[in-house]
Amino acid sequence: MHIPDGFLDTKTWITFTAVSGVGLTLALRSFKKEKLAQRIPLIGMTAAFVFAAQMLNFPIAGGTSGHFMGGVFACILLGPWTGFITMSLVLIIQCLLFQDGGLTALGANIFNMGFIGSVGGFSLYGLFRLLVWGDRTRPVAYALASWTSIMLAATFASFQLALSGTIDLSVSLPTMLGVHAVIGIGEAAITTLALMSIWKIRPDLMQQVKY
Amino acid sequence: MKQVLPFLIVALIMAGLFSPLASFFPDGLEWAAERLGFIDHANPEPLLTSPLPDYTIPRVGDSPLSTALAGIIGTLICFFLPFTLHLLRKK
Repeated sequence: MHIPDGFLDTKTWITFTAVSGVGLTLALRSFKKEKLAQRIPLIGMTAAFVFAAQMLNFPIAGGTSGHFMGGVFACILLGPWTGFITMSLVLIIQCLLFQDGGLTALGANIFNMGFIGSVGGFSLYGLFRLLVWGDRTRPVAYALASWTSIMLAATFASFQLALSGTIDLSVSLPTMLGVHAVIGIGEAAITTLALMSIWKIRPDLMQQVKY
Repeated sequence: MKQVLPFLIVALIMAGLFSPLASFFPDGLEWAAERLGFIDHANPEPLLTSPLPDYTIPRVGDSPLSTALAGIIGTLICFFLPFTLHLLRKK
């Protein structure tokens, strides 16, 4: 869902670059310095996993493909603010080193996938955990939150395209949500599988964060 | 560090062995852009020329090996950059 250069007009990309810049600054300030050192390996591991898994495009019907986003995955492992920073780091590396996502669209991509799809999806995870009790139903909350996170990110990408005058929301939203509803199933499967594996093998990694 | 090493290895296997097998079909957004006719809004030339464009190493060419190497490089950078940034910040 990485927006390339040219899809967004000047006012839109400047706005979202500013919003994401301010958001990242605030998130970096919220880092608790004394705890940070011991959390760095987990941050690196999450960034590496998200980057690697994002490369694995899986084909879906109709000559299109989808790939893992990992926002909810990162926030559940790291907590929402560190998750947001980690996702942003991956998106910055993808943009600068791999030409994935435009330079002008970087702020919008950080907003959609790093913030809305991560912190937004994670908030829903909190909500779903209130609705489904106990560890046994934990995978249900993982799956629901990660599927919804893709739909949220796709919705905001469509908003930005409409704001830029690239394509009307009434045209793009049904198509974007339709295709991402299917991609979201992959997101839910990978997120749930990865988190449940970590939960089984190394539950201590998941208990490092209190949120 | 030791505790997360197995997970780094999993990530390296995904990026190094499985990435060349990934689907080349356009992703959801590209597909929507082609279908709805706004794909031509994309700049023909990117604003920034990246060292590893589209997850390939230019000198190795466009081959499965190139993708695998680019994937391994990217995964290692993602893993070690937080350590580097943290060290720089402490100074």
